[in-house]
Amino acid sequence: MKYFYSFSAIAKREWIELKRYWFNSFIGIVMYILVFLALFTGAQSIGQNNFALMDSLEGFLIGYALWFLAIGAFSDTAHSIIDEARKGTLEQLYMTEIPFTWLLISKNLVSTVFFLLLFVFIIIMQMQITGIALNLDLLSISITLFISLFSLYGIGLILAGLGLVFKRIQNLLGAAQFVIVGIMVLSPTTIPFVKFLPFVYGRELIMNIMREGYSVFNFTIIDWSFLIGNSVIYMLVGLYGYKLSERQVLKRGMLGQY
Amino acid sequence: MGMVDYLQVNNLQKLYYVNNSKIKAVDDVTFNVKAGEVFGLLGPNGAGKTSIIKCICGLLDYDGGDIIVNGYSMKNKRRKGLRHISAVLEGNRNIYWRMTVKENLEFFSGINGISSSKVKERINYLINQFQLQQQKDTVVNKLSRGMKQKVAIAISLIANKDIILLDEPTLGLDVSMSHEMRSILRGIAKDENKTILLSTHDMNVVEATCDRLIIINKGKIIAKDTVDNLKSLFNKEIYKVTLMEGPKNQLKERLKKVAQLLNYQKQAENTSLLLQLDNGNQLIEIFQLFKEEGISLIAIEKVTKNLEGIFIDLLKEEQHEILL
Ligand SMILES: Nc1ncnc2c1ncn2[C@@H]1O[C@H](COP(=O)(O)OP(=O)(O)OP(=O)(O)O)[C@@H](O)[C@H]1O
Ligand SMILES: [Mg+2]
Repeated sequence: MKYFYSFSAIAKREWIELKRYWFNSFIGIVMYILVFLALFTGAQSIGQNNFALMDSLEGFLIGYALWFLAIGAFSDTAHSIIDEARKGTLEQLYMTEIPFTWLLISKNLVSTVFFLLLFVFIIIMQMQITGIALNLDLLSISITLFISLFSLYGIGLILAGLGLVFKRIQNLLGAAQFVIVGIMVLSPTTIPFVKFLPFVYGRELIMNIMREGYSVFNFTIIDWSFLIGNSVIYMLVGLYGYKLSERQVLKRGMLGQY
Repeated sequence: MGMVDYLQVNNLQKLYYVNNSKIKAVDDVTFNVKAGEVFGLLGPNGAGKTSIIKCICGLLDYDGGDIIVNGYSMKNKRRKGLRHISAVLEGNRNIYWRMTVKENLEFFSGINGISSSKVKERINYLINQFQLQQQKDTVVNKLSRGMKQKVAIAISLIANKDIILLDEPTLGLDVSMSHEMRSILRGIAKDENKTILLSTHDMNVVEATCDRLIIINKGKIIAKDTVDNLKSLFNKEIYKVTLMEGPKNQLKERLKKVAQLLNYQKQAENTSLLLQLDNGNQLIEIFQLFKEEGISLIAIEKVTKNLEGIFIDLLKEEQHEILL
């Protein structure tokens, strides 16, 4: 029960912050839509009635939305830990008898719900703008996204740990964005090994769901194992990496300073 | 709970490594805090107060010795120990400034694993106790520094843990707020039956709130005692006596039999003596002596020292350890 109460405290905090400071998120989304609009009109004027381009526009639409989401997901963990270190509240979170790891995962679970809604919202906006019809199988999309986002949280944890030790989170996040772009464009059909990278397999599944009408009910054992395995492994790697940094942080007394 | 040593700090040692050089921030510090006691850590800047407090609340790994909280070592039973500890660290930063007072109280009870229905009464109690009724729905960011500090302390009480650690609870407060804070702290110890460990560099705060204290400097304990003892130990009757001429040797010998001659200074015009007596009545004997020796007195004044003066003296003569 203690774990449940701490989870709901975190959920409530996130809700309060969102409610009170929704404008920041709102501006971010508007900016995103505007950039998408510009890119889309540009692409349209280049290849009118070009079927190949229209086809890849679908991929671009989904890929762009996923990229936006991915950036949000992995910087969310890193930013919030660093932010709490700066404010001093991180020390308080370390002083509860509930393990800090649980508080982190609680926060990730809550963020995931937010990201799911955000994804559906921007996809619908984009479909309206472009007139492109996609298969909006909400159940399949939600489940796939829900699981695959945790691989990105794992990466976020590693970055957060490094950020606490080296105090260079902006540079780290900047560099990591390029990696994310890579993850978003590399295709596992041409380079098979990239499906071991975080989030890639989930991305492919979502593409298939939205473009080809694939569904969670058709997922093969391989699909499930890659999807879940990828997230579990990257989350564990992330937690382990964070613990390594944490050991340094506790030795050097840097939990409360950034 | 009897007068058990609720919190034990044994031979604590904390080193920092900065640019390949080693800083001994806490050097062999030992003290015990009893249940229900208010205990002070007094020391100048850089003495190691914050380091000691962070070691106790598990935010800092230590290099030697151990810390035992209600029987649990903070080294390998950290989470069990944390069941008994809450803390307000330097600069009341344990609050979410973007949430209201009430939301903060709810949040911190929640992450400590307490259900929101169970804590409702306690939240109202604390809001009343700290006179925060008008501010309870205000975003913390908009409160004054003193108010924030009150909120921070209220938050540290929300989970109802037994030991409250306070790092510099009066730092940056104006005089009246600082006084209010002192009475709040005394109230917490008494009404809530909490064990309090607070750090400060302000003697007056210790004098007003603490039962016992240690004085630390450069990571080392230089004095450990009850506040009362420390005051009376140093506040023996000390008198500065100014004489017309220097006392002859014979007088000096006779004086030494009655009182302790702390200092003797011969100046061009006069001579001043610093005498320490066990009680004021001995002054009569001293006067008698002067009269017999035919010495004329210019002035006599009592030298009093508050805790602050004692503190400064102790820092000057570090070796002077008073371990009782
Ligand atoms: N995280 C850290 N890394 C390196 N050195 C540190 C760190 N924290 C403290 N120190 C050093 O350790 C010593 C003790 O510092 P500490 O902050 O514990 O003292 P303090 O009594 O709390 O001082 P203040 O009154 O300034 O708060 C100082 O020399 C300080 O410079
Ligand atoms: Mg300090």
